[in-house]
Amino acid sequence: MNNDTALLMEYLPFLLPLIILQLGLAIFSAIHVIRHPHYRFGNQVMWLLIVLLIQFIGPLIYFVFGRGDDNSRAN
Amino acid sequence: MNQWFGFLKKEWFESVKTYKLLLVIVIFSILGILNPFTAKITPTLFEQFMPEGTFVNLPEPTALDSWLQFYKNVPQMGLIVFILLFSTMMSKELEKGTLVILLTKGLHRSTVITAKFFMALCYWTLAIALSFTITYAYTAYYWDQSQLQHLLFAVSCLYVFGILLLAVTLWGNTLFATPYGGTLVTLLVVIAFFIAAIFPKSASWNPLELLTATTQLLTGELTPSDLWIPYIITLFAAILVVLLTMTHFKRKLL
Amino acid sequence: MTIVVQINGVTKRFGDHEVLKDIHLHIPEHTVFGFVGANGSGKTTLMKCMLGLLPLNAGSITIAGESVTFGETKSNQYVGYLPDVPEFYPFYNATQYLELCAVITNMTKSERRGRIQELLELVGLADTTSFISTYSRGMKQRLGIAQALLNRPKLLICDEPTSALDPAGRAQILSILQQAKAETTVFFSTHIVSDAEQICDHVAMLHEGTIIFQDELTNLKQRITGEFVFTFTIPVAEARDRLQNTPFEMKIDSDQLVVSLPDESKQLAFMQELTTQKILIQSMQPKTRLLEQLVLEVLG
Repeated sequence: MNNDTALLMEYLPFLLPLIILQLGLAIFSAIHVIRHPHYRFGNQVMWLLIVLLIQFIGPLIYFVFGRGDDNSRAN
Repeated sequence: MNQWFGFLKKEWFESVKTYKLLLVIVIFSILGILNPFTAKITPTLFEQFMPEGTFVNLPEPTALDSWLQFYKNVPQMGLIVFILLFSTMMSKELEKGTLVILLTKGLHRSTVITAKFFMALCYWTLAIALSFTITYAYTAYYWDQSQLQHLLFAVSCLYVFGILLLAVTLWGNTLFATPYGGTLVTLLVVIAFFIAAIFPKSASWNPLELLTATTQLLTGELTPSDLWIPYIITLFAAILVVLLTMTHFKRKLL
Repeated sequence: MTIVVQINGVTKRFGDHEVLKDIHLHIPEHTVFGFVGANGSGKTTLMKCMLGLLPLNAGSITIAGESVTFGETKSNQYVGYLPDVPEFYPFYNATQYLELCAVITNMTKSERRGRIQELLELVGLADTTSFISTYSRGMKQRLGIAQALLNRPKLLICDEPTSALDPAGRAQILSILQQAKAETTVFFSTHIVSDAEQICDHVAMLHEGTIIFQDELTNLKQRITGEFVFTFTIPVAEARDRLQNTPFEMKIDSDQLVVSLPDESKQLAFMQELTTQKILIQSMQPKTRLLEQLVLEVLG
């Protein structure tokens, strides 16, 4: 156990920024998915899963291909 | 010139508003950290997961391992991410028809292409600079890099290769006016490079050489002078493809 | 009167399909020129040709003395264009978008601000600060007009500016176009005949790729009017019966009496007749659906 903590401490300079960046991006994207429920294709559950489960490629796919334009509002 | 900067400003504003800046910064920072991290953790992971009693003599990771990771991750993951990010820069406007008004206001068609390409180039510069700096900083902190040769030239090879792919993507995207057109054309071009690379003779000109030679550059087996032909060819090809895109777009029906 | 647009013998084919056949059209300055035709008759194609967005198969187009070449933008400095469904960058607001347009037309910085404000007031968007992504169709259409008028063009081309709008939005657009006539020439296409009737000075009609009719609206009115629509304080059938023995041509059309009165003496005579018969007029107006009639006449 002690060994593991030492290991963790050793890799903290890597893990900390990695976790912050990955988690931050995933959460930011998830919030965007929920707050803008218009997608070019697919549904909310699908996009949430993609954004949260596929590391950084998921958010990328969502923002580039999945994010619908806000002006899809009804006239 | 005013027109060019005006349109560039729009491109910049759009890229920020469509989260491209955010994605480039986050993803290429992650990639930058990932390289030294993978290099450092690989031996430890092996130890942990090897069956009890197996003796593996893994050498201590060095600065070279960290950079090897860089030249594995950035050309693969990094370039794919980047091409995907900018694969819709023309098709989005062509599909929606947002350019029609601006073009009828006297916006030059060549301005559209050059400004878009320049913006993507700025982003590519930012992306490479970011992950290079981060990998460099970590590697310098954990290891001694003094043995490594041509660090900057090696990364410039990757940078130049990226420029060519970017130009090809823009061309494919303009030609087919669909989001998938650009990526598809780029994929085909890369496959063509790989097929050409089967023939050893192609090494003297194949742009792909810029990616495969980076390791030998770092170890000093190759010097920049060995690579100048593919280097120049890649740069010229990129310029040529942009010019081709411009002439093509001039004749495009909107 | 100066002619802004000269279209001479323009032919446009898409493959084997001839969309425009030998079109001749002259648009005089400071007029509202209505371009009427059914959907698919080639209106948009002709407009795109005028903007240099499509190559011609034959003929020539000259705008303000500058001939139009495909792929070039030289003649476009005299033109403002409003596409049928104008698309803007959703991440801008109206002012930002117009500023981008102003930079592209090389408008000087000092000129920009005042002009943009002026136009936003003209189209009624001065108080809107939200992003274009939240705009309704009518607002987009109005921003489209502002954008088109930005560089004080000699010619304003509007492609079906009213067709996607509700009656209120339509009336707004028509009134803006009419105001725009003061500083430019308006060329607008529509398949809604009554829109053209309301604001046009000249009308041309396109049918299956050829201009089947082109004239001033006033001439046109004189040519076919002479028909007036009356309603009375008594039922229309009764009125007709009482007027039975008079020499006027009459017919009943949806509870209204349509009387043919081609000249002033006939009109006066009819009024006199009404007075002697002691029939009170509730309303009287010239028959206005004339373009619709005309379409039917031409097609029939």
